[in-house]
Amino acid sequence: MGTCGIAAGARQVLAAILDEVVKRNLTNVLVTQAGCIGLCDREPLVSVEKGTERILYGDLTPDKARQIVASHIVNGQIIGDWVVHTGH
Amino acid sequence: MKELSLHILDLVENAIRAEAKRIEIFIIENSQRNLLEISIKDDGVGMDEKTKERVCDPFFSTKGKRVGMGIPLMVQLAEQCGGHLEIVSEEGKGTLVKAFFQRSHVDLPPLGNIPETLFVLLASHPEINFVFYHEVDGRSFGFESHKILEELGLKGFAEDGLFLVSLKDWIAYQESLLREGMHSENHKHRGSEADQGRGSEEIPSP
Repeated sequence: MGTCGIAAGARQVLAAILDEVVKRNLTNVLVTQAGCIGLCDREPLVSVEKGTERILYGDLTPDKARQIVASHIVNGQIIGDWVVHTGH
Repeated sequence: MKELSLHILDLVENAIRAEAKRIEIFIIENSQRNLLEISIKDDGVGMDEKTKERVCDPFFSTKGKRVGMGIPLMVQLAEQCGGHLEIVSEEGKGTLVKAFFQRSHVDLPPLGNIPETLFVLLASHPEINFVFYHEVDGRSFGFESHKILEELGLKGFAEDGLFLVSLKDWIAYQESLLREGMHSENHKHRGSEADQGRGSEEIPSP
């Protein structure tokens, strides 16, 4: 986490994701941290990477982070409204 | 930042990027001296003199960016709250960042969510040995993450996610007792019988 992310609430978002992964007993999910990538005004940012697919979500809250775990990670449904960038 | 725990997290992230294997987080509160001291000590790559001189400049970064706000924000807050910041660093040995505040200062933000801060650090970096110590008017609580893993026979907290969540709750409980001035068998007291012999050597020094 960079300073911008921490100030914007990244700790709470990360804690929510970790909590959700534990609650759902998801064993094939790796949760890691990254530093500032320059999109400071869209922090907190979360990147979900599956194979070569990379979806970057922004302007997140702990509640939105939990929904991403449920919708995208568990059910494979990307939440388009929150996507900042897609890539491979 | 709204909480001191977020500043602590920011400084610990610096230590992680400095490739530290052991990071000590110390919080010492003394109402008699009206003092709050927060220190982050690591055994990372350290800084040369040139870097150390510039590290308080918000437009200086070691990460190739245009700004480096973590330490300047802490300096500003400490000075705003009647205190100051000290940095001791040696290249190849590590860094110690110590911030001092007037504990009663009206501009001092709350300590905030320390358990959540430790939770995200322990979960994200099981390879790092985190040593946490919090003292309030002589009563203290602390732990060393690798000692906990060793006693449980785990390689990392991710091996047992439920235990990690329970550990967070345990830290929150100990912190609340510490703040409320209540005693716990997990708390040590400076100057008490518990500090002599086995008790005192278990209390880490900043």
